[in-house]
Amino acid sequence: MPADHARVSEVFLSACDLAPEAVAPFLDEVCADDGELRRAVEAMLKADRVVEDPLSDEKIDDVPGPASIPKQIGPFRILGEIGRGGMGVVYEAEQAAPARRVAVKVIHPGAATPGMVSRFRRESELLGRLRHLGIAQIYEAGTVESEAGEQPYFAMELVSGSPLRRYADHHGLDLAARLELLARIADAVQHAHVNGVVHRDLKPENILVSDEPSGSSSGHARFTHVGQPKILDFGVARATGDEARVATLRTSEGQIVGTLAYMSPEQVSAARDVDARADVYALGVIGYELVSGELPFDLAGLAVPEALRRVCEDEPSRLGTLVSAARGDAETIILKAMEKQADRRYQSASEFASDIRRSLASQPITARPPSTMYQLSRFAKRNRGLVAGVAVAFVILVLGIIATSWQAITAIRAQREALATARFQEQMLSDLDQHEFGVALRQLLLEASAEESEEIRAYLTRINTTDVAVALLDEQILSPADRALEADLADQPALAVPLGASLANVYQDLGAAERAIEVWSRVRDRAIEYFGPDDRWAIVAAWRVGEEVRRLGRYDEAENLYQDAHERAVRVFGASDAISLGIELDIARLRFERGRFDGALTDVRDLYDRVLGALGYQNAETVNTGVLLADYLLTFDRLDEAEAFLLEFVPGVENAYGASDPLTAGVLIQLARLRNLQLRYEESVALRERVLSIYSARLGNNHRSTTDAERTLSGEYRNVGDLDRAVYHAESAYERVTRVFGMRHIAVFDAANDLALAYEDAGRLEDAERLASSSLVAKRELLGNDHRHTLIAINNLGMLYRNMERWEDSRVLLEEAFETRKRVLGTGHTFTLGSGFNLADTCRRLGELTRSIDIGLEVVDIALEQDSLGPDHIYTAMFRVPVAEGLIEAGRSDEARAQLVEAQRVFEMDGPIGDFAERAERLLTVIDGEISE
Amino acid sequence: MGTDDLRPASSSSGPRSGVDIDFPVVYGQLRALASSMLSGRGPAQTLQPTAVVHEAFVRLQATSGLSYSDREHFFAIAARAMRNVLVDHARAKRAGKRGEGWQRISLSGIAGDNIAEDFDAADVSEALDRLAVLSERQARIVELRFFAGLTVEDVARVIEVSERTVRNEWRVARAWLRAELSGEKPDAR
Repeated sequence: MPADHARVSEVFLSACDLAPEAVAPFLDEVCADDGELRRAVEAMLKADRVVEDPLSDEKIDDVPGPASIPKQIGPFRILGEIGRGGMGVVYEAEQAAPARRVAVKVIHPGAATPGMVSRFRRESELLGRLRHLGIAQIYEAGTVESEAGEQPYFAMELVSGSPLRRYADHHGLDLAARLELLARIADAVQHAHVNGVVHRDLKPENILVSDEPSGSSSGHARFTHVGQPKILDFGVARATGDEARVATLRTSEGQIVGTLAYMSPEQVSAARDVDARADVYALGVIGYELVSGELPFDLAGLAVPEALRRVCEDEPSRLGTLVSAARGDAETIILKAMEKQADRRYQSASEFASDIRRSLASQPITARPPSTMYQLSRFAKRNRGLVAGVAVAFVILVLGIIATSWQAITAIRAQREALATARFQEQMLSDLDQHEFGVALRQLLLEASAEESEEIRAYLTRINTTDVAVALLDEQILSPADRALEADLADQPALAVPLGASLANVYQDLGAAERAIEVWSRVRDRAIEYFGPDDRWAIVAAWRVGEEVRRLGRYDEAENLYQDAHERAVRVFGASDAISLGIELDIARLRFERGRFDGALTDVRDLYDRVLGALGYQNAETVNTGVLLADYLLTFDRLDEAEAFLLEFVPGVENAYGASDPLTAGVLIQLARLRNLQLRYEESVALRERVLSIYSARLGNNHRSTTDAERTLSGEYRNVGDLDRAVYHAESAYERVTRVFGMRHIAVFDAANDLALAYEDAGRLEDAERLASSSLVAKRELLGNDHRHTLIAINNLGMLYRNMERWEDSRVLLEEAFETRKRVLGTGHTFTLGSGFNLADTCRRLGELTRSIDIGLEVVDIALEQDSLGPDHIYTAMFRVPVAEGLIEAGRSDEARAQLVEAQRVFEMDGPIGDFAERAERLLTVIDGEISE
Repeated sequence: MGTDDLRPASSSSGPRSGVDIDFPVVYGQLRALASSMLSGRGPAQTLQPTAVVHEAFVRLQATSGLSYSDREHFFAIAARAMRNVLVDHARAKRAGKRGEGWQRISLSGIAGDNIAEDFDAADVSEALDRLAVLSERQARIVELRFFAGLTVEDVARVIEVSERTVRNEWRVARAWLRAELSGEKPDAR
């Protein structure tokens, strides 16, 4: 009787993980007298052991070689085996004339095809021409007859040394030495490229470094301790042709993936012919690994298609997050070599090598268009003494904090001031990069203090150098420029107006809002005076003043300015002009910030259509409007519409601007928000990472957009519970933002807010409180108590106190947030209701039951009246649950029941939110239980 | 073997996909690829179906706008197509020179199973047909794992059962096949 397969399967599964000695007794019992069943299971168990037993594993990528080592291959006497791989075996051998030791690599007979052998002969001549210190010289190539058929072989220079990574680690090379090593490898690659040979399979295993330091290298004297790298197998991939790739694919999954890590996207996707830039890519990966010890893409354990996708699509983690010393140039250089598109990489290995050397010599690198400030900071490094003198003189001058006599410093001042002022003026009026400025100045100051006295260093640690830098800039450069505009150019309005505008822009970028308003206002007045109220500059200046007062939260004033500017712009330039549309966009933003949402969405949609129609995707205004539209849709929870819109908008912008343009990044942020709201956190994290890498590469690490991207990324990591990363990124953003903007800038408040939240989630409540409270103090001073940033800070600190169980402190703040928001944003704003909701809860914790219920009911009632919320909204339902808890506690079960039934109706319709649905159900059971008793 | 035989019953019930992946197209791709990879090879070469399928996926992705999310659907079809490719070749070779050729496939086609024992593709396919009579699901899991290199997770998604089930069924099926192919005949009939 045949055994039943289902039964066989079942018994087999029960038996297969038993200890060997337990199997027989088990089968005795289960199979009893069913011999067929037992036989079937035993056969399968035997087969299973072959598969599962680790001892029976044979490495399939070890192609079995000939059983014995040959005595002679061609003219070479074989001395021993060095190693073997998928392609063949390498022997150490001796050549008679010239007398030398060589390495002979014999391609495995199975791996050699007739086509390969003939191409191999053609290529060998070419390979012989490669002569470079960094390339293992190929002496000879040929074929040898063996019993398995014709076997190609290479005889090459016998290299003694360690594999690249081991060498670097073993010798404890620092970052600079590792980079020098990388540059030397690139030199060798360049030599081959010049000679028409592309390696195509560069990886650390193919690079050995001689253990003896090479004093003779092309490198700098300071790197004489670094060994000479030698690349093996140069040209072998080409000589052996496509079969090499197939051979790789054939060997094993693990090996494919191992090789994939160093292959460029165009190579793995076979999308186009592979050229020298594929080697540049591999150099980038090798550098990344050499510097950080990690591969840019973790492909371990991935199925091949997924590994390929990562190589083609993912952005590598920024090197600086792995090795902080690599921030800046090293990171920029290596990531440029690893650009997905070959066109965006270094176009040759030598460009790559020379950029590395420039960075090692503190010269400007080419990897990004160097801004003026960037070059200046480079200049400063090389001319430390000179610039330091200037900086010190300035600090002393501005702060007046050193008790040295003025005479002692006037000499330095006299010497340097003219030079420095001229330089700075030039900066200011050409293309001052304000974000680099704080950093550069701080750098100068620190370097100066290192060479000057301890006293100065002590001062510097106590002051915020960026605040100093801004003050200094204002005092020394901008104000004199402003005065000069007033005095010297009084009769030349055509010059004074645009210069004034650029001055105002500098103030605006520095975050000096009041000064920006002042200068813009003067520009406007002067333009009106000389050119009339409909002049372009008059309109633009009014618009800019509006922008600044809007940022300060002075909304009414802003609205008036906007309306006036818009009216004029439409009349003068037409409604479809970029200026008119830009002002209209700002008006829409203003409404958004004030929480005036009635009809706004329709208006923004309409605006977007008009802007797109008038200007096309190619215009930044279109992108900004689209971003605002997405912002609206997301704010109103219209996720499906937002998704439909973004899935069209994102590719449109990507096509117009490219995948790594900052504008594209701005759009990706909205997509990230969408994914976040859809709870697709993995995607939102990936998008935020991408945004950060775009900004960091294109705008630099200290740009406000970059720091913003980094702190929001921190927020995403909070969402997914990766608190280490959340804290890391929030700290990094905060540190940079304070360094660049000083302590009293809006960007700093946002960063402090996110860092406080990260600390809070990570359980570092004391740290969170310290940060949140001090930044709240600054916000109150700087923005006033009614500003939305201040209100967010008040609410968040109130919630933090709640988590710390400091109920009294919490109540005071939440009360303020609730009352102020009612007044500023209106009672119906979600934020207002959120504050009330939080306040009700805190009151209940304080035992103020009646008050808690009253506030809770108030919140529910307001929510019911709102068009945007109403009885069917999930938030309204959520608001009801804690109220019901309070009502039950107060013995008002009937009212509680009514609230809960309503809430549950919505939860059933829209799904649960947080644990509220669960709580509602539990409470209802409790109430119904009481009633039935 | 007519074209109709090649059309898998599963193509309509497979996962939904944005791109319509045609079985004949996949089949053609795989066959061309397998031939080009293996032409002119000496004896004793083994072919890793998984590598062929993955390569085909990458190529199709590049040329036909196949998106990454189509991969499960693709692999479900490719598994059947690959099986046919291998069996066709095995039979053709068998008709010609016996005992030589690339049609030997390794049961190590799946990541994590490092065993080097080879079986004839046609034999595997026939054994698989016999297994299908005993357990359709086990046969299907083998096909997906073995000929398309799908992970346990992917297989679970394609045939809509739990990963645990896939893991167990796979272990049973693999042991059964090995026993069957090595002549131990687990299930007498």
